[in-house]
Amino acid sequence: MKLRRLNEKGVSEFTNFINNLRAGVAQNTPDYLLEDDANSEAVSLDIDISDQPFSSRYEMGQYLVKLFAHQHIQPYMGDTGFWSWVALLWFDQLCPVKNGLNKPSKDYNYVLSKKYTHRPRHAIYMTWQLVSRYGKDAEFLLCKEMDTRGEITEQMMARQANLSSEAIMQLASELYFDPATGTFKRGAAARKSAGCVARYIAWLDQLKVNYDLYLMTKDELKGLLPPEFERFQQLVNP
Amino acid sequence: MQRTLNFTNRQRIEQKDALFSFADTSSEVPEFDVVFNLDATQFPADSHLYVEAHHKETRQRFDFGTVSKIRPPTNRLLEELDLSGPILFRVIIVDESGKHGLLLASGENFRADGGDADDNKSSILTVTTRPMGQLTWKVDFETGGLPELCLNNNIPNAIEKMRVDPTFQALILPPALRQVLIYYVWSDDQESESYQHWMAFAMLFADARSDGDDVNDLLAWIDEVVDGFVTRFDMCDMLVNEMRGDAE
Repeated sequence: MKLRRLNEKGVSEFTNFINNLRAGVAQNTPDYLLEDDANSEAVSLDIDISDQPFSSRYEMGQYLVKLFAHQHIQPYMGDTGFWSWVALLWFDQLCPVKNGLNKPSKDYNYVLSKKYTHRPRHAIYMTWQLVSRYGKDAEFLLCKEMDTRGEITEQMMARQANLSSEAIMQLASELYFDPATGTFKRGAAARKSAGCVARYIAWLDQLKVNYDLYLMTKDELKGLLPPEFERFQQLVNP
Repeated sequence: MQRTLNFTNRQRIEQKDALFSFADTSSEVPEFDVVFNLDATQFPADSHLYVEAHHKETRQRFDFGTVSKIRPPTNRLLEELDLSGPILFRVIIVDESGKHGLLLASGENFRADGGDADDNKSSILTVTTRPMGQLTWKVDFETGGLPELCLNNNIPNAIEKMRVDPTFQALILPPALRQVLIYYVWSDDQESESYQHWMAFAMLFADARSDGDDVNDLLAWIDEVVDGFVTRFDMCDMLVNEMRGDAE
């Protein structure tokens, strides 16, 4: 299928569909919006995209990175219609199911929001951004199933500047991802315990006041880690 | 009360120390310029100077050499940013002589002036150009401050036209003003400085808005402000005269 973008009407229809599902109104996914000229339109990119299953958001991100390689994607980076079209294509995979019923998260997880606080929640746009920039080092954020929003991802993305530092992302991957299990280490997503992701972010906030983290390598940043992070510096679950 | 301790004597860079602008071109990707007015004697001569352009979570860094030898990079195209909203700039001076880059000074959230610093810096509606597909203009409220009037950068000399062309002014400014007033009248941040600025501006053309929240009353008040605005500047006459002039 050729990749398109939802127009204003299509975005509105898709948003209504999500909110109806959230309100308990059972509905079929409005796939027709994807190719209906009244609700979507062609884009200037010539991209064939497939409606295929993914085992994790990371795998989906890898697919998107390959798909968009050598494409002039910049004009579509903040385009609500573009990213929402892709979310609609894969909506049935992205939507959690409870008691046999689709129970989507808030609409901005599927319809790209203009609000900077909601935008990092978009299942497709943010996944592409992370894998595009950090490749394997983004896997710890995206290792769960397609319908699972990552608690760790949302904590990390709450500070937008973190995304621009390779050292921050590489060290987080080393600290919190367990390659043996393919998921993050136990306790990483806690809110207050020593060395958890929330503490990592708080520590980075302090460090940024005095240091230019963009210039640091992962090992330089690691050298500054306080002792509370030692328990995560092991290869296996602590 | 939250306090910030400054043990390393970081200095603050002000907007007047780094004046940003965009070249008014029809290029799809904007290119920025910056004129620095930094006191180089305040920093070690080999301190590094960087500019970061950002919009939301997209960010691009540019190396401008050292404070004693500022060398703008040849390529200042904002190729890695999401251009769907306003671009903000950060300027930092970094001492890289030690093990880790120590921040000596920083300035945040600087805006480009659209090539027109004198006119824009005291304006409550900055005019900018951006790639906008087939959209000719819009008012952007997601700026982190005052709203911006954005014009499609495919329109030749768009900013200049907005300043001098009666057709542009008469057809764009009244509906833009209406959008801004609707936004602020229903804003939940009526303590903000930008709200106060716009309400003060509106009162140049009408009485103060009523305290009630009746939709019809508020819309009638907005109509009154817009009507006062177009009357003050003879917007329709201006447009008609321009069209007659074109026809002759």
